[in-house]
Amino acid sequence: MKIDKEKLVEMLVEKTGMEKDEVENQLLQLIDRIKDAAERGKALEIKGFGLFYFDESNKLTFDPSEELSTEISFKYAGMKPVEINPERDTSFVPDPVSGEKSTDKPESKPERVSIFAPDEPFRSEKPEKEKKSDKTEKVEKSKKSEKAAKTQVSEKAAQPKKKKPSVKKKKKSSPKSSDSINNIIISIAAVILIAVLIFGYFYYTDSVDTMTQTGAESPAQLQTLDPVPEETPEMAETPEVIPEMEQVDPAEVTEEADDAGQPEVVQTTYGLMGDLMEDANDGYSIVVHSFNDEINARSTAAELNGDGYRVLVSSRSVSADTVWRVSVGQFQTLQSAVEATNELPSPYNTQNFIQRIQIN
Amino acid sequence: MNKEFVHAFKEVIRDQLVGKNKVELEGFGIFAVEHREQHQKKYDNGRVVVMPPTDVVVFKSNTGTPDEN
Repeated sequence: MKIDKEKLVEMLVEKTGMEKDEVENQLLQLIDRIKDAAERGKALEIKGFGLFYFDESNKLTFDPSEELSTEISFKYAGMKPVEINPERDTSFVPDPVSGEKSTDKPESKPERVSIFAPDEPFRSEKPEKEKKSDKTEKVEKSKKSEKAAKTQVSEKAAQPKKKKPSVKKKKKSSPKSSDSINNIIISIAAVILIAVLIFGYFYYTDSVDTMTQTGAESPAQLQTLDPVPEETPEMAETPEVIPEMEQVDPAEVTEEADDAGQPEVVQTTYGLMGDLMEDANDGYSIVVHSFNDEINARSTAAELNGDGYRVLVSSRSVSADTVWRVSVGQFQTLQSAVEATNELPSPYNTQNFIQRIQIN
Repeated sequence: MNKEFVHAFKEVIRDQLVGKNKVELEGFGIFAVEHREQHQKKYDNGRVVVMPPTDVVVFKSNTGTPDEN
């Protein structure tokens, strides 16, 4: 679409709120001034826009400023020239990475290999069991003798172990076809394995809990004034509670944001999370959604706000349609916005673009 | 000259250019955006560099010449 002078004046009237005559007058003045300066052999710079001057062949030329250039080319922001070397030493760099990854592969392989459903618990869980027992055995074995004395948990663990083998024996003796017996044995074995795993897990967490509790109590007794040991038991005990904590935290944050601004939270002017800052509205924002409909945009914005993001909703006219863009974060520079996209969850981290913040 | 006007002028032109629109001012020139594809650049010293794609602002002056577009 081409914007001619008439349309431009219209837009400027809308933007500035000035009279049409005034805008036309100003526009003429601006053009005259640019030409004037250029004719006198000077360059006229409009700050944040660019430089006008006459080149050697006496043609009016415009050099866009860096700000304008980056904004026009925002899609490719952060892309830099890449040198191609015929021989690449860097090709060796990925190897250690893949070497690290290969340690992960053996763990996932057993799961993929298993085709038969009854095998799955065996193959996928056995390594876990081995791992757990490896980790815990040292702890457990040392503690087992102590625990044997207590044996509230270990008795529970032992009882089902005893019961299930007896069931196994009965089924073995029953006159059934070998196939079904095999299936039953496999399933029973799987159940036992799971049971053992579960009890092993309880052992493990139990021992961890007692470890951390005892570990936490002694420093707390010794140094009651030091805040650090008080935090460590919380940290150590949280693993099971973490899901709840994560759900609670954002809610608290948003409540604070909704109710009373941020009296306690000291927030930087620019950033991805937190509350919108008016001072940061001269920056950039990451657009993650675009809607034809304001209501959808607002509800999505509310969801994102609930997750703790700074959310902006803005309407733009794109080829005669109005779109409602939902964007997150306020960033001073285009570059910082591009970097922040890496912090976003999927699919936002790849599906986004950056726009200049505008207050409509 | 009005500061507010200059500011609005910059914003409007920039927005239109971002939206891939041309802005034409009779007796002055046309602002437009051109896309430059990714390309390889060969230096005299043998270095080969891949330049990323960009969108660039181009300004075609039409001062004193009749409007061709």
